[in-house]
Amino acid sequence: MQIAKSWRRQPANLRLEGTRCGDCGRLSFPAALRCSACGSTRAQEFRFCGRGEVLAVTVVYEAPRDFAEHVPYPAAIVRLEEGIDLPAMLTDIDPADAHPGLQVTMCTRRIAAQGDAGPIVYAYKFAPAGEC
Amino acid sequence: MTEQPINIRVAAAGRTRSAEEWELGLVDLAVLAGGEVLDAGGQPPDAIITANALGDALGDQRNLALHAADRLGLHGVETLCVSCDEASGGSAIRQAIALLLSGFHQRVLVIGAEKTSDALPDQLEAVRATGLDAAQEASFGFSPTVAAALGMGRYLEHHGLARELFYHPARIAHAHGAKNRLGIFAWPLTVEQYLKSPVVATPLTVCDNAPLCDGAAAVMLTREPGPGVHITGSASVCARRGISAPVVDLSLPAARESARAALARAGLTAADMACFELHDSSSFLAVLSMEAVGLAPEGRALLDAQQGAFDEGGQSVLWVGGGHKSRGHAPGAGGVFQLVEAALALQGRLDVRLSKKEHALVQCLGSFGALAVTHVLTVR
Amino acid sequence: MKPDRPVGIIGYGGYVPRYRIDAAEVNRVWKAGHMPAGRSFKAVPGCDEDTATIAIQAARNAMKMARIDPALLRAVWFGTESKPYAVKPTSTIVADAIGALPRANAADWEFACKPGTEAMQAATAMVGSGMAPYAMCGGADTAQARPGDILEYNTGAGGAAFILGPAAEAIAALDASTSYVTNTPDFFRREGQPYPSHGQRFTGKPAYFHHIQNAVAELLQETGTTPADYQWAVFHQPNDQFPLKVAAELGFAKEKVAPFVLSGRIGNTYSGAALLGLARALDQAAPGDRILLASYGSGAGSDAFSFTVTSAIENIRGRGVPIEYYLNRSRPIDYAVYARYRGKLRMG
Repeated sequence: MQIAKSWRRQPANLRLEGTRCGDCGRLSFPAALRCSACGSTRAQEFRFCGRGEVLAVTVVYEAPRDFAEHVPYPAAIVRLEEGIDLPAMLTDIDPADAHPGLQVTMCTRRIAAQGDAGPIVYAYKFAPAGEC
Repeated sequence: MTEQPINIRVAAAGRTRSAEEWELGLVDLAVLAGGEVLDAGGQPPDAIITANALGDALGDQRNLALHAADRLGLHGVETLCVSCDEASGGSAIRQAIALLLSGFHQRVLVIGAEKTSDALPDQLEAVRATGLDAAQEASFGFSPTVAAALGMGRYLEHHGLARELFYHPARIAHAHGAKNRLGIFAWPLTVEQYLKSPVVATPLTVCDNAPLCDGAAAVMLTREPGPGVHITGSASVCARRGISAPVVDLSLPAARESARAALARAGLTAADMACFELHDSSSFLAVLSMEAVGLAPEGRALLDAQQGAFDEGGQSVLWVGGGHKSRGHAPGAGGVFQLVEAALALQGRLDVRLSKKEHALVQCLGSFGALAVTHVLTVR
Repeated sequence: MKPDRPVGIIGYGGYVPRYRIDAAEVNRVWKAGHMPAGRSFKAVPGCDEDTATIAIQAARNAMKMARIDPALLRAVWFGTESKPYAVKPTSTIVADAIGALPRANAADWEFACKPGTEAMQAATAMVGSGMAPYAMCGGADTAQARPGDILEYNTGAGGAAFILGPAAEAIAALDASTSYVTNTPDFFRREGQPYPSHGQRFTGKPAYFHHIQNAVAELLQETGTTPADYQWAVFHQPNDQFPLKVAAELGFAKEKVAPFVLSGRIGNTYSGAALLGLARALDQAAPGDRILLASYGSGAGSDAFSFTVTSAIENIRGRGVPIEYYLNRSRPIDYAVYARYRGKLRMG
């Protein structure tokens, strides 16, 4: 059971919190201890707005372990408004309606649970804008 | 600073079947392949390097090289385990080259081994996914298969191509792999079979994925001169982590630079290669690899494949042993299988017809293309 | 009851999952279509939804409307009878998601269907005493019913959140509230049991009706008002009939009540029910409207509130998400998919 691991991902998972480099301004999601562009360790908390556009999407029928309960799920690359590309599941959408170009908004959903006794992971999925 | 030429000879090679080997464990597979190399004769190795991608995550034998060395009766040697996801095989070869060029050792035995059939498919996919971004991708239901499906859809849409064109990488792999009696799927693949294949994640079907299996391949590498196949070029390059970049940009910058650097090191170009072993764990990565190493311009790989540009008898033959797709995909061992098959092909010991060119390029990718290890082989 | 400082609703939000199952479909599986009930639907949470995710979205919608700094919330109190964790608050997850931590109280409340309004009483006190600039209260549920039980026809899923603050900033000011509570075991669930037990007809007169009637009667007396003084009245809605019946018995005209009886479209959303009704009422209320809210929770009790809508309500239109949007958003599913989504299939 990995409680601390799921806990430390909460700011990213629940609030789409990452960092902006205090020196070069580069945005990272999730938070970067060290800017991969300039090497700076002066990071400022940055909350992404949650709006984005689907660049690519697939509907998954055979899932890796622990994701069978979501099948069939649309798995997408979402380009956030701030320019970062984020792999994320889509939700509140008929799989057939998922397509590149779709405007989406972040919502919080149950992603996984560590068995029947472990912590529940709540994290981001994306729904069609104005849908969730 | 001028780079030293690389002239590492492949003194011997060995390989097991690629199959579901219910009666063999991970160490057994390594011992069989390594043993075949030792049986070829010559001095024993001073070092053993193993390549394996998934064993630790699957709870299998850790420190594999040590355990293989013991069972091969090799005590007193250096042992090293290399784990770089699906680039492990190429990376292990490269480490062997470094040990040899440095003068630390005279003969190094590289064994790539993978045991997948002890795990169930959904667990395997989850473990493979941890080679991607574990926190942002594996934890969110993404895996190499899901990433390949995303890439396939985007590639088809971006280049305005018909879905059926993806049959051709598989067709070529199977056409050549049908002659590899050690391969798991040693038969030709018809377009009907391809089109009827069940969907795993749209639009990717079972036939777009290389079959995971058990297998081990081994080579003895040495600085000692002699006839035969030599490694004359080597490069390992990484690019941005994450599945987004290859899916969105439809390119593999690590593969491109790794191929360029390996060829440059050998003083050769892609046109000098008789054959190419590229990373066809999925048809998407196969296609991007083809374009990255210069076999086809962006967006043209499938069309050229359809025209027969990469079938045996041509100037640039792909997947002489069937590739991961037909021969079988033992992830951490793949890079060594590629080297063994390309070496055999250059020596005319495979049934697949090549041109008279004397060189081959082998490339394996880790973490969905973020790491690319390329070697150039030359037969003398 | 009234706090020392005037308090009111600053913002509110609701959420209902998009999946629906027809009661006729439940009837088909369990009674082979014998004597089907009238057409009615209940909302079903998707496989990635639970009480926490519903509460989070309701809370986010409330924050969108209220436009306050989440750091000023001193309480985020959600009530539910379908907690994702038996021990570990849902409210901390919601508070974390909206950025209200670490300075907010965030326990979960439980009182069958009325913990949200119980939390509203406490949030009123929190703000009205000057302890907090703002406090959030809400209710959300993904209630379960034993397969084939009469409750399975309408145990729905949904939730709503309300932010209370100074009446001067409010879109609806609190006039007064009452609570009427007894120790009545009309409906309950023992520890470890997957489904609740209930007293069937006992949940009617001695339970729902008795407590609402008393809470509302006391409220009318305390405020010196009669049903005629209220433009709208929202009652807890376990089904379509009870709220209309209790309204008639109390003397509230049907047209003041019916628009906010949502159970025929989304089922009984338990801790979310009365609050979703109130949200729906506020979506269409005009300045000066007086609104009655009377919840009911088995165990048992009723909280009654009187609100008067202010002119500030015109400023918030278009800021939140109208409840009608969620009511209209509907994807029908059959019993098999419903059983899968509700975790009623034995997986191992």
